[in-house]
Amino acid sequence: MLRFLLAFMLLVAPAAAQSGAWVTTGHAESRLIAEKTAAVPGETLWVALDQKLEEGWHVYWRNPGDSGLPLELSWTLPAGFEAGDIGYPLPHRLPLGPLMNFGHEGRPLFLVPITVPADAVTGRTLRFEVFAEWLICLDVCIPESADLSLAIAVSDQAEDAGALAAMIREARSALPRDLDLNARFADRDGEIVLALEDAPAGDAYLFPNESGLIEPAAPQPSYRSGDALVFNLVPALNYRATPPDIIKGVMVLSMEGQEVGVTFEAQRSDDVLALANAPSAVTDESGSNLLLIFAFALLGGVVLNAMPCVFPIVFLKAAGITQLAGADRAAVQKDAYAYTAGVLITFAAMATLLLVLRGFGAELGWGFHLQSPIAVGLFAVIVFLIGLNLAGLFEIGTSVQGTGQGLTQKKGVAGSFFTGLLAVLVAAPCIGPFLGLPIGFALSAPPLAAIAVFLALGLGLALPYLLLAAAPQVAQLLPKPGAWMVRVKQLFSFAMFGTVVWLTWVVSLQAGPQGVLVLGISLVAASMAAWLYGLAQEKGGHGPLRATAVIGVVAAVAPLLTLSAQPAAAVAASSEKVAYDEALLAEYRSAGTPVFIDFTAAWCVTCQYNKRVVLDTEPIKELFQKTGTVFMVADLTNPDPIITAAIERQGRSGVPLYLYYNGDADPEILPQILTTERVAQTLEHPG
Amino acid sequence: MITAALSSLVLLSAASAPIPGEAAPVFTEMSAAGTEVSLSDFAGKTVVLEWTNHDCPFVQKHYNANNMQSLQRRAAAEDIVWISVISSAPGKQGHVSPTKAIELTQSRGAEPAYVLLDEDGSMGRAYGAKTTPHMYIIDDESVLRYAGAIDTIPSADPADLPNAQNYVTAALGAMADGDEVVTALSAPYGCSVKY
Repeated sequence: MLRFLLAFMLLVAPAAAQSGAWVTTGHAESRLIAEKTAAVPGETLWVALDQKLEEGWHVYWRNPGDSGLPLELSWTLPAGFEAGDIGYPLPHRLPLGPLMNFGHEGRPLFLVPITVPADAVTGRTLRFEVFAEWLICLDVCIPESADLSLAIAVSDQAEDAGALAAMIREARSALPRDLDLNARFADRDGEIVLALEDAPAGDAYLFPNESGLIEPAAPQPSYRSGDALVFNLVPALNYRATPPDIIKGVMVLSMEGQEVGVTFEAQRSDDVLALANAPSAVTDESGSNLLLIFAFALLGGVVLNAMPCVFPIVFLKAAGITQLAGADRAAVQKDAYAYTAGVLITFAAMATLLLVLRGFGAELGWGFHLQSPIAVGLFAVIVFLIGLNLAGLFEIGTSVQGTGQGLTQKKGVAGSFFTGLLAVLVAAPCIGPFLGLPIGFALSAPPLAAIAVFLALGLGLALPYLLLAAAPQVAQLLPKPGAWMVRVKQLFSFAMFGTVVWLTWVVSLQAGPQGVLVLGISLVAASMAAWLYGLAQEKGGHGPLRATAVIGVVAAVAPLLTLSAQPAAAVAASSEKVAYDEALLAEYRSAGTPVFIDFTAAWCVTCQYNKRVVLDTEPIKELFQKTGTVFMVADLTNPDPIITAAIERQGRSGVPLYLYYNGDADPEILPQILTTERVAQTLEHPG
Repeated sequence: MITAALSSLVLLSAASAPIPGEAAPVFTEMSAAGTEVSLSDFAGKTVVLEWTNHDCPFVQKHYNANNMQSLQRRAAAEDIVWISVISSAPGKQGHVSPTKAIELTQSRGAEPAYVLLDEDGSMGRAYGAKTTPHMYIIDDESVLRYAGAIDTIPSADPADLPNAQNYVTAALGAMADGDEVVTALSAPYGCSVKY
């Protein structure tokens, strides 16, 4: 046993050389670690000061804020070796009364790149030594220091130092990135207005590299103006005494516990003032960017009519239009206006609800309501009832006998309004072409601007039918009214039943087999109620029967309320796909392995269309294998804050979204409607 | 909501803290000796403000090495009014009773003209005092001439004192010669003021 232990200790001893001993000071433990097992001549070896801070205590970032001191490292390195600048972890705000510090708690890792000279002699073990000094504070502050060292071999061959390598790599991938953002600033009314073009979405805070420029404790109200993120900042003393021409720093974006750092270098430029408005005034300023967003929203709304997810509604609408055969001009116009009103009012209501829920902190994107199996189940029942109606089981309105011209119109108006409402609810999960940008904008814009964008989208969706109102003679092109109208309605009912099949499948993924059973019972009960309703109509409006029917529908949907989302079924059932995992993604990126991410959801018909027609086809599967691309699936069928946040980082808010990562570069965003050629082009010719 | 409103009030005052060349904020505070002390008492004199906290290692660096005391003595000799200010709130670290404040002055051999107890932090906030030490120099016309660190090496290590340039000495020297203060503003270093 002892011999075994000894042998074991001998085996692990060499691995310990990538880590120096822990040194305990008053409120911290510190050590030096290295990423590789050896220093390779001519290469850079990443080392790090690894600190475990006492609970509640903090150390400081390069700009410590109102007080405090940053880490100081004095290196003693073998001849020719050189230590680079400290790579700090992302700073956090640490408020202390009215003052604000920028620093680190828990277990910060301070990275330092060490350049190994090309003529370093291999086969020897060298010692890196550092005298580290830091200030560690709770509310009281204690200066601490430690002599730390690390023995490292020099060799032509170096391997990753296990868990230490992973720690250092993770810290490196968390370093602020240079996205080459165009950043500018200017003074206005004693404030600094600083704008970052093309800044990613998210809750942003600016940490200037130098102290004395921006008041650390001041809030940083920010808002979107066009594609720029604009901050109103309070200048600190040094800024006021000597206004600088440049402000450098790190923007930290945080979403649901995830943080991303982006460096910025803002130049003084008065043209930034054109972007700057009081946050509430963004809608008043019709900058060209805002106009472009509205144009995209309108265009996207029109195109939405041709998206797979809206097909059921297009059929429903078509069924409605055929009923206009022979109708007069006024009736056609009324129908179009009612439909448009239904679309716009529903869009406004949905957008308001979404903004309110987001205001309460819910991580929701557009189409969020379909993440609830209850909503999907209710949809299925409604669509099923519409199908039964089209098939002729019952009529909507008072009774078949009472159908006069006036009633038909009234029925038509209500029906069209309802169709508009349904179009929005069903189209909502669809992010079609052109819509990614406007909806992404809307979710970060002030409420009024956001609702305006959604209304533009709705107007686009209703536009084709609105044109009918402008040119009602189009309706005259339909054949004369007759029996064909009934046949067409019956034919279109099958589109509704098809939709029910799809919605049932969605429920099966959200709530499992039990959910399908409950939905099936609801469907049968609802159809019985509809049949009773039809019977009542045949009898000229039999009161008790009608009442029973209405109660029946309510009873039919009641069981649906018991549905609850189950943990997502294995999204990546097939072996060649992996579930979305940000740590894994970071690993692949640093290893240079290309990754394709499919942000999808069962309720997103466009996603399913892309999957069937492109992604799940043999040629594309082979291409993934050939190019060694990892296929990652981010499934939003059920709510997932991490995936929602990841989508928002791309300035989007819904699925489908297709990203292609290759190494450290920004991801390529593929179109929402995929083609085999387009995917092949990305996989085969990255960059 | 109330907290947000309060903190923005506090920030407003921080943002309106004077920069050198602007008028020094007026103040009236109780001294450890029990008298009311106002800026207006010292019209025609140069005034040095020193924010302090006896438990802070950065303050201790300057007192243990007798650096702060010698600055205070030189100031007294040149008829400059040296005022030490303690802005720690009651219950916060560094807060002291008047008796304790006098005892600290005596035990350390300090010689400020006054020690002010700014318990509500109003004076500290008016000046934007952030650290201990944080130094201010006000000229004979009540204009702020210097704000910032005590010297050029931000550390708590007394061994750094001989190599550091003292900003306060340099500024007082320039003012005595009728010159512009070269470094009128610097980043203060030290512990945070415990408001």
